[in-house]
Amino acid sequence: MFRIRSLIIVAILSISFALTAQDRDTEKRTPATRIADLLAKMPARDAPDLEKLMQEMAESGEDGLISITGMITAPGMGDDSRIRYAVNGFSNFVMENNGLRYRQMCERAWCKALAGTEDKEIKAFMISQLQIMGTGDAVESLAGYLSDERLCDPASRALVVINTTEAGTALLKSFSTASGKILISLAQALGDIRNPDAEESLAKLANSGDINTRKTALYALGNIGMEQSADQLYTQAKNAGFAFEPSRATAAYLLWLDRTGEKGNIKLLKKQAERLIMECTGENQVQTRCEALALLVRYTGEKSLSRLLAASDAAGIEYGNAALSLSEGLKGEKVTAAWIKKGARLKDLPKAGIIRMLGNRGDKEAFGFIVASLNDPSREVRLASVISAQKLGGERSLSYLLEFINKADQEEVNCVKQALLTMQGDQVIPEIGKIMPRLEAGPKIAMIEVLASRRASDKLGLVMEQVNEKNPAVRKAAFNALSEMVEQKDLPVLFSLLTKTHEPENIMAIRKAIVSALQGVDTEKAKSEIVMLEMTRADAAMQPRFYAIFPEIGGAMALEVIRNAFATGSGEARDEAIKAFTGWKDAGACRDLYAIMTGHFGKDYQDSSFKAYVRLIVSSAFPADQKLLMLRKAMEVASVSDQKAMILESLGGVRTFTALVFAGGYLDDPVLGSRAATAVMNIALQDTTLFGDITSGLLLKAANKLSGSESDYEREAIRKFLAGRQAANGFVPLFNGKDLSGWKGLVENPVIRSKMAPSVLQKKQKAADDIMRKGWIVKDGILWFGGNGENLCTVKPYGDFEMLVDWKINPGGDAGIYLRGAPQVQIWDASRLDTDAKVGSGGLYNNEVNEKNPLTVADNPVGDWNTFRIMMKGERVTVYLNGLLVVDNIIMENYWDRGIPIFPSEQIELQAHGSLVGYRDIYIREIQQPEPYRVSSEESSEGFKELFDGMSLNNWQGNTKDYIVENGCIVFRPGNGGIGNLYTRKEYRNFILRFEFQLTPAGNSGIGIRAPLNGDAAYGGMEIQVLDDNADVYKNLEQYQYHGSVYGVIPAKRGYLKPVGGWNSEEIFINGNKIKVTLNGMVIVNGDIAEASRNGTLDHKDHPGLKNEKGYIGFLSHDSPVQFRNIRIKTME
Amino acid sequence: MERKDIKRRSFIKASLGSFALFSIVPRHVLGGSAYTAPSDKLTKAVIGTGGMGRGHFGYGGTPLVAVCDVDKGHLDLALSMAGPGVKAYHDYREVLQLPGVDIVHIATPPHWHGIIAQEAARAGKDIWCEKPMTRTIGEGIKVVKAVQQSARMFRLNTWFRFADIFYGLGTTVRPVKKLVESGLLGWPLKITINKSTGFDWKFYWSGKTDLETMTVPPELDYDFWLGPAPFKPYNPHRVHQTFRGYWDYDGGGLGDMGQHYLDPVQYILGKDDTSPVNITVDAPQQHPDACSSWRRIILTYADGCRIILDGENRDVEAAFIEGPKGKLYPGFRSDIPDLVRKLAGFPDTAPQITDFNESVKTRQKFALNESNGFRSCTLVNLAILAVKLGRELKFDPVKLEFTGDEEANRLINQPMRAPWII
Repeated sequence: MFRIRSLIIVAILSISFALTAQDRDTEKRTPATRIADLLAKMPARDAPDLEKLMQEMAESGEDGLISITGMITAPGMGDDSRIRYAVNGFSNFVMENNGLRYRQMCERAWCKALAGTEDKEIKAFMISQLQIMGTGDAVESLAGYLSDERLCDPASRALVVINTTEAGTALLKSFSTASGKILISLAQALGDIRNPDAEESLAKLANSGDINTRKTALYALGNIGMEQSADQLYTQAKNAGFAFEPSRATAAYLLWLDRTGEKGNIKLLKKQAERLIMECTGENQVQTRCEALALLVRYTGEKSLSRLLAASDAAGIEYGNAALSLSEGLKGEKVTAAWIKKGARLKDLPKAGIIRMLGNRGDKEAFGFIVASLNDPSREVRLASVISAQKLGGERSLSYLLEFINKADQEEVNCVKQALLTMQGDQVIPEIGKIMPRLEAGPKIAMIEVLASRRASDKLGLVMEQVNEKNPAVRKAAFNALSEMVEQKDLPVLFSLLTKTHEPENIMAIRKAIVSALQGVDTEKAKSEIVMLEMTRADAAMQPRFYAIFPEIGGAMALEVIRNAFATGSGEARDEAIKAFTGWKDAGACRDLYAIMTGHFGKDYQDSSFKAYVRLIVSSAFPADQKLLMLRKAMEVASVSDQKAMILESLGGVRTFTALVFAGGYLDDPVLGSRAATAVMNIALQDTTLFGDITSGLLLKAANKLSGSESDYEREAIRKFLAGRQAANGFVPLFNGKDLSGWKGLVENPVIRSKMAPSVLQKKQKAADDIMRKGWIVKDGILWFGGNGENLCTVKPYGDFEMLVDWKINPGGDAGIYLRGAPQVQIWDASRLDTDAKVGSGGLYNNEVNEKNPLTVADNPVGDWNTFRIMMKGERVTVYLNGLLVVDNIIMENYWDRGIPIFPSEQIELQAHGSLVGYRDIYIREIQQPEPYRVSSEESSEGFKELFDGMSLNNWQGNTKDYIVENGCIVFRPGNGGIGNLYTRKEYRNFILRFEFQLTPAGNSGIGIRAPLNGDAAYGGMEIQVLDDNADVYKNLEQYQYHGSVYGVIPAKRGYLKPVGGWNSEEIFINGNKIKVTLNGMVIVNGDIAEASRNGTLDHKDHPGLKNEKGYIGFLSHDSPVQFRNIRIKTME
Repeated sequence: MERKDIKRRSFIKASLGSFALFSIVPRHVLGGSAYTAPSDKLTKAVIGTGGMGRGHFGYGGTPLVAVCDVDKGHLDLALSMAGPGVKAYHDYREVLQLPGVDIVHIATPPHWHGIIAQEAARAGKDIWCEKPMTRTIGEGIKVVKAVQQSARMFRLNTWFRFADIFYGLGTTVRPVKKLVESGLLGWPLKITINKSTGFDWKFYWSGKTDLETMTVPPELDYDFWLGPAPFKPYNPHRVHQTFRGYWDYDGGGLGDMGQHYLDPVQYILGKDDTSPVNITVDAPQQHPDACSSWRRIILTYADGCRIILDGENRDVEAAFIEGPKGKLYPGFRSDIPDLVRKLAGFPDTAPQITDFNESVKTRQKFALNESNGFRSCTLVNLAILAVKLGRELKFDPVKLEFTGDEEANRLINQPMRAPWII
């Protein structure tokens, strides 16, 4: 881990001044090591990290950069991505402030690297790097590839970007001798770089018979824009019919025109553009004509006005409109005046177009002309005038528009309405109020709508007058406006209107207004009371009219009102009550809706109540487990496939494992399969904790069933998801839905069982199994206990686990789930009065010291299904019932022997307690129980002791922040704020250290021995290298850097590491000067440190630590999460 | 045949009046929002018939007359779905020269959008283009110029600015725009785009960093597929559904979703004619060929308005819009009491043309056109460049170039592989 030092010390440096220490350490590493270390850290985590790495890279010098590029491989010849990250990172780095001073060095290195490889794809990559950061200094190198079929294109593009005179010259030089594809690339590049010296040569090519040669040459001539190209480009464009064809001659000519204008040769531009306008009169030339006009306007400005005005006389909406759009951008009163004059002479559509343009142009001078045009005989003109008057005048146009509206037709009224709605200013509402009484029906309706849209409450009186209008359309508009304008004080009027109105649509509007006015009332209860009071005052026949208000209020009281109405009513009253239920806004109505959909009220009510039921569940705050139970209940009574589809669609938002499996059950359905697939995907991808074999199986199956426009995306998401996950410890079924496989009968209790002789137990088990088969049966995927018999027990014992199970009981029922052979998570009928059952199910019933009762009653009504999610870790239990937490991490006591804790592992049992109980969907996920690591008895007798028990870092000191314990291992996870290495608490002299380790790709760590707590262990003590030396980035290592080497001193034999990901076992033996390293049973180092360093060490560095007699043992990890476990040591005198 | 088509074309665009023709009033103003302009006479061709392109067959209600793809497999599938009489083409330039085509739909990968859009404009076609509009800022500038000079109609294929519920926001954009215009939230505003505010960045468009060279399948014209992009040896992961993971063709999840999310935000903020001046990024280092994920990008406008692209959903409490006077959350929830009622008193947002056929016939700009589409695509491209370069960028929204960053400026106009020209 020698390399970690530099970074850590850099960090320390910022607060101290131990500069020399860092220099010394860096110096000790060979360039190859430093580069290997650097590459191992690619790609950088973020910008500061990158900056640091690039600084290091810069310090490796030109030779370092070249050696890095030497590791690039051709595509498909090995993963060199870290190297490409480094090279590209460096190209980026030298283009920003902090790296700028290395730009020249980088350029030299890249040029040498470009010359130094034979592979053309690698060369192309290096050229792309020069395109990023190259300067004139790279021109010569790049020019060398301009005659190469593969590389001419990238090289010429790099030269275009470098864009120096020399680059242009180099392109032109190669151009003279080029042919074929190369010629085309160069012609294009000469155009891109706009080299005027190329004009003559390009002109020759521009008549070429080869389309691509002609195309690039014409483009180049156009882009260079020399005056002498004019005729050739014009002729070619004319031959192309001034339209598009693959040689792009017309585009080249237009580009030339633009360049001519840019260069200030306006006279030439004008002449050519006007000629083009004259000639392009054909139907398929209009776009070219428009372009010529646009160029003329761009470069001659106001002088093109006459041409624009004339365009309005030309045929064709496209050219005429182009002239208008161009005029919008041409500022000045003179232009306004000219267009007004023109507009005054025209009529109909042409005049309308001009008015619209004047509005967009924004010159207020045109306002007078525009409002005068509101009286134009042409409707098109009037419409345009409305829009432009508003745009130009804002509130100033208000009086004109309101005057106009009374003589306007319906389209014009709509247009004015739109204008008023978007108008700024506070006069709109008062002015509408003033004219309202005088308006005809059409405009009146529009103005009522404006008042409603603006919620002009102070004009409610005006609108109220209109509800009695004779004209039904006006009446309707007034009723519809009410809900936007009323307040609580208006309720009495509204209630009175409700009973007096006849048209059903207007009754609906009043109800909406009542709901709106009730917004000011605080509680649901208060709102219900207000409406109920009014309802009881009304005639019996009128009362059903009130029902539809209650679903909008919601809450228990409103529900009670409708429930009563439903129970007592008949005919229309009952219909209205059912409608009220199906329109309910909160989940309170679920039970009533279920009753309606399973009752016999006809197909329509079945369907509407079903849909309302599902809708309310989805939008409810019920926990996911409870939502699933309710949706499954609906699925049982879904009558048609679109109802089933609706359930499946809703399941996507119910992210539980059981929901996933339930949806998965429909994947093979020919009609519902793709809906099920979407549900499976939505559940699984959103909740990573559900992952396991069942989930991945369902996802794979779902991927094949997805259809629809997004399915390619979705399949890709599934693929990524699956690839990103290792086979996890997912849920497995405890009950297969068909028979009692995996289950056995109950023999005594665990204490007694453990004392039984195996033969006795076997015999008793057989008898118990016979009893089991009488008491427990499987029917339709449900496991039933009939009331007679004993507990049903899992064949397998379980330690820590998470368990899912659905259960249901009958009235008076009693049952439970035994955890680790002991009673029990309680199940009982919470409505029973003869016991303590009112506390609900889910509690740890037999606890005496610790809490036994559930936190809340979460039971569903007896006869409905319930879901338990039970977690047991150590002796503590957590239970969720129907998604609600009922037992919160409580210790479960041992019922069979209260003197001892609960057994560490035992069978799970479904209790038989004399009453009918059903179970389904039983799943379990085992959780690894951490067990302390202990040396084997054999090693113990040899004198080995644990240095790390897999649980705690008690024997360790130093960087305990970044070295953490995970799954029984010590892992390095940088970024937690720690500094340095992890060391033993004690010092060791002569010893045998045994341990196992697992590498990640390019993983890099080390074992320090006889090391001091401070300084670099590789030199201040000794380092036994730990390294994935097979990784690409380490291919240039020195022997004494291979895995197992005494770093820098004694090389190790290479090649005995297991493939990355496998666990290696290693032994380090050190006694006096003798050292031996054994990897996976193979001795890879066997040497004498005194002898090995007698004539200087292999790395020519000073290793004072070799003389240490004792010191600490340490882990010297950096960056990669190398894991260590089963660490034990034997000390020797 | 050709002659007849030309006549048909003149007829459509001349049938609105007897002589000189100008704009007419947009029909939606007159007919209400439900009004759909007749489309029976306009026709379309779809270029690029992968999954996206095939989705275009029904767009706009216009009949499809030609399809084009450089992969014969895609083309055959497209033909089988397209119905009788539709012609198939390998070379888009032939499609551009068909007189019977009014609207060209561009559904190729983004590295082709610029060229085809520009040439379609020069061919006198109106254009319906997939997002992101162009792969570089420079290509966008050229498309805007070509479309405007040749007086073509252009629409970008994202809908949220003017229709549809805006992802997880639970509302269309229109009332949000009105709220911002009302000033009730104050100024400047901060908009956060993350999962909590209704937008889930898709990060599975990451490229692979060590592609091996494979044989090009016979049905694919790979050289044509690459077109203006630098030559790289073929691997199937470069093309078709996974091309978004490579800088040469797109920009990962930003390329895919960026313009969908950002275009409405630009509209809401009233920034259709400008661009941010500062872009900061927090992302892992990017590979030279393959895009990967990013954590956070902040785009800041000159007036202090900011757009936060929160890739990690770090700001779980964030409002969609936050201003000094109030906040707006998904579902039009706000900390401003009685917001809906207060807002009603303010003027509505100006209407837009939301039927492309209407635009084509009246020659009035579509709601999401080359001009504002270019600006929102510039948001995407600024974000992509910041991720690619891994550093803060400063941008001049008038000159359309970066300040003090030569490398970033080199990426604005990237020379194309010959003989492809924009």
